Amino acid sequence: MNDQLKKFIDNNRDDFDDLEPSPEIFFRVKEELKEKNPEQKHTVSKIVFSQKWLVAASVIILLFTGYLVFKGDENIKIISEPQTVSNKKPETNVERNNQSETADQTIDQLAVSKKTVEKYKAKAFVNNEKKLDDMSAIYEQLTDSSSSSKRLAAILKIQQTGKISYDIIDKLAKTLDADNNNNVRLAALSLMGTYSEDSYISSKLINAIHTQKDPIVQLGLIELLRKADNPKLDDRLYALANDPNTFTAVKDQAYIVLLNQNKL
Amino acid sequence: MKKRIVILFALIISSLMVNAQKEYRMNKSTGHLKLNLNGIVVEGYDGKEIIFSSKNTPAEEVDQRAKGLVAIAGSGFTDNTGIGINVKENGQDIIVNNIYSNNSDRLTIKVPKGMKVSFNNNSMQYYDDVTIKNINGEIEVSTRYNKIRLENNLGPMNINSINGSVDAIFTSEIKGPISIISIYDYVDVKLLTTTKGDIELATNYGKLYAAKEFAIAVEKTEAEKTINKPIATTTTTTTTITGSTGGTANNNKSLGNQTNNNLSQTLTFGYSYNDGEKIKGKLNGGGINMIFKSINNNVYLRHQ
Repeated sequence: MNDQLKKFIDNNRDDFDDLEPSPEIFFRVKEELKEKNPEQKHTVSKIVFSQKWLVAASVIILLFTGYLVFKGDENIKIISEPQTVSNKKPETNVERNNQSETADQTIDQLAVSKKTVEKYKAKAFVNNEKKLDDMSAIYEQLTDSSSSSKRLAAILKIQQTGKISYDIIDKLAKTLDADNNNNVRLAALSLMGTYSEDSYISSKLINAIHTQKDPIVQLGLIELLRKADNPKLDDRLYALANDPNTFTAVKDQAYIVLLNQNKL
Repeated sequence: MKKRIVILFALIISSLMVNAQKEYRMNKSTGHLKLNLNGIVVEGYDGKEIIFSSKNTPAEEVDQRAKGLVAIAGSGFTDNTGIGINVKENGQDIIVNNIYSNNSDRLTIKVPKGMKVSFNNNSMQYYDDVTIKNINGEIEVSTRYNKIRLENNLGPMNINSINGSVDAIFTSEIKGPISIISIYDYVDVKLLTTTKGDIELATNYGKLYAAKEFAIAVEKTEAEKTINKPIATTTTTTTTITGSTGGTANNNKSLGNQTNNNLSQTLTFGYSYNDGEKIKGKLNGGGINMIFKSINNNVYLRHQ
C-alpha cells in the first residue's frame, strides 16, 4: 500500500506544487536585499575612510601637545618690574663675549631649556651707552663709604629698575668683594644670584667663592652655586671642607653639598 | 649695742658708695659711634653728651707693686675712661674698644638720638646681649653670637648676626632701607600695620610667619629656579600668598593674609635641594625697603 502511495506521489510531484507566492512578496524581498547590500558596502568604505582621519587626528594632537609643553611660562605677569631689557637675539652676546664657548652654551641653553622670561633677561643685555648716565648717580651711591645704608639703597635701586648690564655686574662683584658691611654684600650677592644662569656672572661668583673669607658671604655663595654643578666649585668645596680655618657652618654646608652630589 | 648699729650703718653707706655707677662723659652730639665691645646697652636720649656708665665696677685694689707702672694689655689699648674701655675720637668717629677682651662689665651708653651707632663683635668666647633703643640715626650691628634687641629706633639699619637672634620693635614710622639678617637664629620684627614698605621675607630652612593684619601684595616675579611656580592672587584688600617653593615642599595655599608655608623637609643625610621660602611684596602700597631674612631659622612679622 505504502509503495503505491509513494509511487503516486513521486510521479505527480509537480501537481502538488500548485501554490505560489504572490509577485508582491517577491518584490518586497528583492527590496530588502537591496537595502542590506548597500549598507554593507557603506560600512566597508567607512572603515577605510576613518583610519586615515584617525592617523591625521592623532598627529595633530601630538603636535599640539608638544607646542603646549614647550611653550613655556609666558603667562606670568610682572607687576612692578618694567621690562626695560630688550629681548635681543642671543647673537648679541657673541659680540660682547670674548669666549665663544660661552656663547655656544647660551645658545644651546636657549634651544633646549624652557624659555622663561627670566632667561631672556639674563641673556639679553641692554645697550651700555644709553643707560650710563642714569647709572652714574647710583654707582656713586654704591661706593659711598660713609653710610652702609646708602650703599644698600643703591643696590635695591638697581634691583628695582630691573636694568642689568655687564658694567653693573662688575660693580656688584666689586661690592661683594670689598664692602665691609655684610648686609650690603648679601644684597649684592642676591641680586647677582637672580642672573646666575649667565655664564659671565656665574664665573664671577665662582671667583668670589675662591677669594671670600667672610663666613656669611661664603654661606650665601655656596647656597647659590650648589645647583651649578661646576667642577671648579667642587674643588673649592673640598678645599673649604678640609681647611681647618673655615667657619664650622661653612664646612658643614660644603660637606652637605658634596654629599648631595655624591662626590664624597 | 648703739655702737654696733652705728658701725653697721657706716659700713652699709660705704658699700653703697663703692657700688655707685662710674661714668665717663663725652661732649659730642653728632657723628658715628663705633663700638667694638662684648655687649652693650645703648639708649638714645635728648641730650648733648655721650655718657658711658658701668654698673659693676671691679673693686679697685691698688697693687702696691704696680705703683708707677701703667697697665698694658695685649689689645694695645689703654684705659682712658676709668671704666675699662678705651674711647678714641677720630674726626667724626668715636671708637670704643675693650681693654681686656674678657671684660664682662655691662656698660650702658646714653647717646644723643641723632648719632649713628655701629656695633661689632666677632668673638667666639666673649659675647653679651646687645640692646639699642631710641636711636634716630643709622644703626649697623654685626655680631657672631650676640643676641640683638632693637627697640623704638627710626632706621635706616643694617643688622646681621651669625648665631644670634634679632628682636626688633618699631613703634613709629621708620626710615629705610632696613636689612635684618640672621644666619642660624630667628628674626622677630614688630611693625606698625600702617607701615608703607617694599618688604622681603626670606628663609632657607625655616618658616615665615606673619600677622593676619598685614596685607602683602606679592610681586609676581618669574619662577626663580623653582619646581612649583609662585601662586598668588590679589584682590583689592586681601591677598593670598604662597611663596615660591622648590624641592619637596608642600605648598599650603591659604586664603586670607596669613602666610604659612610649610616645608616638609627633614634635615637628614642628603636632603633634597630646597630653595627656601621667599616673599617679596608691597605693604600698603610700597615705600621703604625692608629685608628680613633668616637662613636656618624662622622669620616672625608681628603687628603693632
